[in-house]
Amino acid sequence: MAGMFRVLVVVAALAACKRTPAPTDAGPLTGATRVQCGASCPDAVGTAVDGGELSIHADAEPGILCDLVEHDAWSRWIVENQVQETLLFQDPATGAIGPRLAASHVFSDDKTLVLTLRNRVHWHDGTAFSSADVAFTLGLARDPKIGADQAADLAPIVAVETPDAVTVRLRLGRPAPYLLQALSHISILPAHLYRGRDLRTAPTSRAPVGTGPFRFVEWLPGQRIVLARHDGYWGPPAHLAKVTFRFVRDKQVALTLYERGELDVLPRLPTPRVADSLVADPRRHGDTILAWTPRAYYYVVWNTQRPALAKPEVRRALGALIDRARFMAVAFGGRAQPITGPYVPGTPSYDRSIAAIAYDPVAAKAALAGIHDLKLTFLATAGSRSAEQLATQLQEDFGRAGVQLDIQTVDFATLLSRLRKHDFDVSALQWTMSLEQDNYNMFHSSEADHGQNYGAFSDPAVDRTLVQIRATTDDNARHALDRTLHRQIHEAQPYAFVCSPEAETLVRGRIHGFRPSVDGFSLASAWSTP
Amino acid sequence: MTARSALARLATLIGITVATFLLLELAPGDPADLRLGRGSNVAAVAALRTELGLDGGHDAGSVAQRYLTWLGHSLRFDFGRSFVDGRAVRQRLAEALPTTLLLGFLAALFGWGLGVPLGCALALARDRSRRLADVALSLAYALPTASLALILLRAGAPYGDRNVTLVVAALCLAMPLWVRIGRHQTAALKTALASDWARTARATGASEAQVLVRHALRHALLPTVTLLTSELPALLSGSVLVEQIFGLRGLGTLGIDAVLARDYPVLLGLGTLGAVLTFAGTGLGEVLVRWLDPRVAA
Amino acid sequence: MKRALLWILAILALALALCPELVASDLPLACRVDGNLYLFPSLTRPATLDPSDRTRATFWLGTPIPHSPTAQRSNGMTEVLSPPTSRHLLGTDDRGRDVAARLVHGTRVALVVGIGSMLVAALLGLLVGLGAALSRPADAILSRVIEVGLSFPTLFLLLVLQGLRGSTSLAEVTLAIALTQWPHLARLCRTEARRALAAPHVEAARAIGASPLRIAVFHLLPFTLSPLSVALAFGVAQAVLLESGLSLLGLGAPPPTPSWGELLQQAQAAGLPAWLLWPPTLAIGLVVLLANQLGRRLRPKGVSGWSL
Repeated sequence: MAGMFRVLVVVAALAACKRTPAPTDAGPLTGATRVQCGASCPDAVGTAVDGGELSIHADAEPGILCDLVEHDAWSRWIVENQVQETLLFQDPATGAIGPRLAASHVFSDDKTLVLTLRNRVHWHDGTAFSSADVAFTLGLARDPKIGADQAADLAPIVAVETPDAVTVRLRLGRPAPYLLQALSHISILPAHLYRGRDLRTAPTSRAPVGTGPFRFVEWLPGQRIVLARHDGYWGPPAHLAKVTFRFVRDKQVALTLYERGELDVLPRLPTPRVADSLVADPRRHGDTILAWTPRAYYYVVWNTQRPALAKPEVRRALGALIDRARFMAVAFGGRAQPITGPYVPGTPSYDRSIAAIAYDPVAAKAALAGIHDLKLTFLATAGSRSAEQLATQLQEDFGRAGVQLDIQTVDFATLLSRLRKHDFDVSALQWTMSLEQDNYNMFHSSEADHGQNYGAFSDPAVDRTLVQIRATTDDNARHALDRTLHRQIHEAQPYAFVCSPEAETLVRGRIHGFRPSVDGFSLASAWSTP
Repeated sequence: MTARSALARLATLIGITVATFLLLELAPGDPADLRLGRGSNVAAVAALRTELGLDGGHDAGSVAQRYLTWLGHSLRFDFGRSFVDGRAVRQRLAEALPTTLLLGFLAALFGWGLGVPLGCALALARDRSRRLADVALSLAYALPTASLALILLRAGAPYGDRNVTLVVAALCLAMPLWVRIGRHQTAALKTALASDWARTARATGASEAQVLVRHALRHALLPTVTLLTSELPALLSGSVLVEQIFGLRGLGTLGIDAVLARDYPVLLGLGTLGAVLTFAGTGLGEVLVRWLDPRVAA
Repeated sequence: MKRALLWILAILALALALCPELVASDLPLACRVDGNLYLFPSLTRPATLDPSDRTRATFWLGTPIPHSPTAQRSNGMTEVLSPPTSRHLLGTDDRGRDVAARLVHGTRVALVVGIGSMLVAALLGLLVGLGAALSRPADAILSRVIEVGLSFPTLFLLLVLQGLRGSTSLAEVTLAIALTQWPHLARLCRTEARRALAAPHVEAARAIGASPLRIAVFHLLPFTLSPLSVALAFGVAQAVLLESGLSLLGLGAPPPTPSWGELLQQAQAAGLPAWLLWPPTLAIGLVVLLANQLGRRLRPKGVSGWSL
């Protein structure tokens, strides 16, 4: 009826009106407080209170909860050092290695690492934790067929010995510079629950058992995963009594749930505009927006197998056509950091003196003048807004310089298979780094067939540096080599490093001590005031 | 349903599974490589492919053999395990099915529940208001479901409450449906109202509305119900778009996720289930039609 | 809707689809630069002419919407995701492109996909439908094929096609939509053809031994054309909606192709600003309305149905 239609018009008009409330006269800072985190977020103020609950928004549901075989980030964020624990602990700000399940770690000689485990630690089901669990887990992690992330870092281990229940001895066949870091990121699995079973289908992978400050309570597929404080924890107990990870795909919907009080933390706000509107929204007074930079970079990969892209000069010229400032403004609202190489900026591995390639369309066009009819295709992931924005921007800028860039969008599975087959010209990806990043898989020529070296980059000098890095255990020496590699990569330009996007996390006012990072959340030290 | 048509349906079902199977064989992308993420290496991919049953050859013989193995299992309702989380496909389908069924039935309810009265009202209305209503209906029908869904979502549909979300999503789905049904019903009613016995009823002093309700409706309802056989299957198969926009975890969302993750067992199970639902919908429609009017032959 | 209005709007839509460059472009309809006269440079896009030449031109007749649908750089950073202004009548999208220009150029995608896919579907539907009607053994198989086709999801088909051809292109989206719609048309053709076969003159033709092809072309085809054109009209509406839905999911035409569904997708990502939500909604609605009205007009009185 006409009446129904009128109702629709009214509804639509209401919807079309912006929902941001008018800022009060007191100024724009009456809403949420924006805190810029540097290397790490500032410490919480006040005394911790026990009890309370926390509800976190999870935008994707993991397949299973077993870090070794599930490569989805959420599996790690829910399990690692919350339910299950690692042997060692790596400080996210300084990279210093400290104890966790391993009370001490000593290199008894160049080729042996002795880990002394803590006493009287128990699994959540009461069974005693022992070195057998460590040996079991490390055995799996080293097995290439399992496909653990850290397999390459553990490859130098030739034997794992367990002389007694609290001692684990790792015998190394060659230098292992990334071993301690790897041991800080492998959750130890309960051998008694996994022995003889397939990791992917064992029931424990859907109900993980660990030694950590939280124990697993339930997983309602499609809805939530719930953890509860483990009162028998060997260390200082957590403050929060219950943590719920709620699965909501749409970030805007999650924001509405937050406004209704059903969620307490939004790890990633959808857009910078949303963050700005929250800062101006008086209803959000007392809440905090943590602005931090994950250890990740956004990059353009050139397929060096293509004759047009084989020469570094061409890649450098094309790199000068990437207006990084504009892309950062469009795709991330300006909330991104520049980056010039495959290491975490601010760490000793990163050479600060290297300047990014400036956006210079005139010089680039001149440099490319010798090449006629350069036609390239950009392979973008369907559904990635930023990839598409970069693609259209490059298409226009390349066009002005005389390079024709066509765009193809394919879904991620197809993208991956085409990258592996080197069936592309240009693509854009994101890579999350470790604090000590081993770039062998990325840039060594041998990794072109099945590593992450999608561009089939091959440079003998770079290969030599990468091999040397892997053989250098002394941190200062290795960091110097890292900086050398940074410069070499910058010269050769297998990638055009674009930027390091920032993330904004919204935390409710009554939650304290909550810190996000690429490795997960500081749930054990967070607390909630009533 | 006669034995012959049952056999025909079975043949179609087999055809659907064969077509789905072949399409999956041709689809690019490796589920094992995808699943392994950063830990992917040659040995791991090979091991996982063997574990998932993907390492057979690609010649016609192996493909046929793989299909027949799958068929054998699925006859016992064993659709295998999902590549994504290792759970039985049966279970994942069972979790998603109620949402889609509910969405479909609610949409059908709104479609007919609102469409039939609408048709009646239009049949009784005067010319001018009918023309106005016709314009409004055309405009409402032309509004893209996607836009409507987005608008309703943003206008503050309560998301946390799954039931209310379902109702709103069903309303969204039902919109084009009740316009179609309303129009269909109006046309059928006008025919019925012009018939001889309607004229007789009018002559005995009944009002237009009484004529409509007591006599015309019963006869005019039949063509509208016949629409069931064509509309219900589509509704039951679920609307992928509406599910995605409203964040409902039904078969449509399961399907999209499975395609993106190349979760072949789930996709095969989904294809089969979808076909079964389509047939169930058609069958249900036919039963309803026959119940309403026994004169209609099977 | 008045018949005249209907036809005017339909022709307007077609014209827009054929030459959107005459309505929205960064190059003008005619201009004189450095003594050279350019006629319709927005269509021909001569290499010697650049939008910045406007300042040097002695005569410059711009298009009604003086923006290109894909130019980002000509709009400064302040104009990203900006609401309607005097410079950009419908505002700009998430990277500064003019929405009005994209809306106009989107007509091309909508109609090419809408009409193109239905024509392909009609061809397939005719072949299969008539073939099924003419021969009993073929009918047994083809009916099953039609039913299988009716149960196939669009999305899945498109994803696989995407992989086989290596991209999503406009042609592929059109083909995929055609492949999901042909079974409906085939079923319609088959029903109408079988009805036609019962007609006396067709029986007579068969009696004197006319070949199946002759019967199909001269006797069955005329019978099926009317319902087919009705179904086509409704089908175009359906196809346009399908294309916008696919673009909304990110599986439509590849960037930077302007598409109404892509505008909706941007609207969704940006929190549904009015200038990104309403123009494509109204545009899609208008085309769907036109197609549906056309279908109703083509339908002989008293027949209901023949839609998909």
